[in-house]
Amino acid sequence: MASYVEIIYLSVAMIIFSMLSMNTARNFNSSRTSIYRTEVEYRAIAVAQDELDKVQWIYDDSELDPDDGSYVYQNYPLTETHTYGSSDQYSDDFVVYASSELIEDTGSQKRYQVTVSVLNENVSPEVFITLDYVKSYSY
Amino acid sequence: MNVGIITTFVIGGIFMVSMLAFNQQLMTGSQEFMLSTISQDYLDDVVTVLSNDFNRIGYNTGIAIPFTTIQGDDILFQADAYDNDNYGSTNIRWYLDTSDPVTSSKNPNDYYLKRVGPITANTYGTIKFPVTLFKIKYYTADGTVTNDKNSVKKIEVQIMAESSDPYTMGSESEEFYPRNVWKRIFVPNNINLPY
Repeated sequence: MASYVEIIYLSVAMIIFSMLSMNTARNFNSSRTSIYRTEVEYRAIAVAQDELDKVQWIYDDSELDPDDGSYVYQNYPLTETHTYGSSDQYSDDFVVYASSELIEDTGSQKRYQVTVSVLNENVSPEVFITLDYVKSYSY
Repeated sequence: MNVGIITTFVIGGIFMVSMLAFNQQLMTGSQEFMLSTISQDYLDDVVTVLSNDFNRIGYNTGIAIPFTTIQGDDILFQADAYDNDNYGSTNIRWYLDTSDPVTSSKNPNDYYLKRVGPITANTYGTIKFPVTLFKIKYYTADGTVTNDKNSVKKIEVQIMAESSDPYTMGSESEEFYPRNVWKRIFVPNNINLPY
């Protein structure tokens, strides 16, 4: 009978140890996932900044008017593939959403708010970041 | 031979081996986590300095073409990098010096990315950042790759950094260096003025 008690004690100890091990492993896995997500977010922000930089080139305010035929974001969202590495051996896909909205018209100046969001679905849960920019036009 | 003792040794041995394997995995995980975090922080520092310079290309120079050198891993341009220093517009150079490998790290792939320009209010000199890749592409306004200084309107910069120390994995203790990469296309205001 005594040997059966020892086996039960041993089994319980091993179960507790297994649970501890699994929890620790899960924590480390979570930390690793956070690192990957941080880097993907970092790259996604750079992609959004690239898109906002292009707004400097829009000199005609009608291109930021959603009701105008020349609206620059009418074909969005776009999927962009970015390559990395010395010979572009790595790649990552980003979905770029962009829109603009007239937020102020003073009679002599128009101000548009451009919103760019970038989605990366290669990590779970997916990474989604949004940046805003305000562009003013005098007329 | 006591069967009980043998059984105890077998179970104890299996337990000890699993403890050692678990400990090894924890060590590897900790090393990877720490090295990756350090590498990401480090890359962010480099990006901060580089972004300041590249966004100010041509600033306060009074000239339309601020570039002297445009190559795949070497760029020399004029800019006023800081408003509060005692320098006006100066030459600023960013280049990957492949003749100068980093000797203080164990990583065999890293070289110094060097920035020559104003460092403090009264100091002009070189700052060195260990990186494994520094790649620049130059684009015209319509997005075509160009090597013509007169046509450059956008500059794509890619930096890859790896940790200086490795973590080991697997039964053969393979060494891995956590890697971080960043890429951005700069559209500096001062070379994109609506003339």
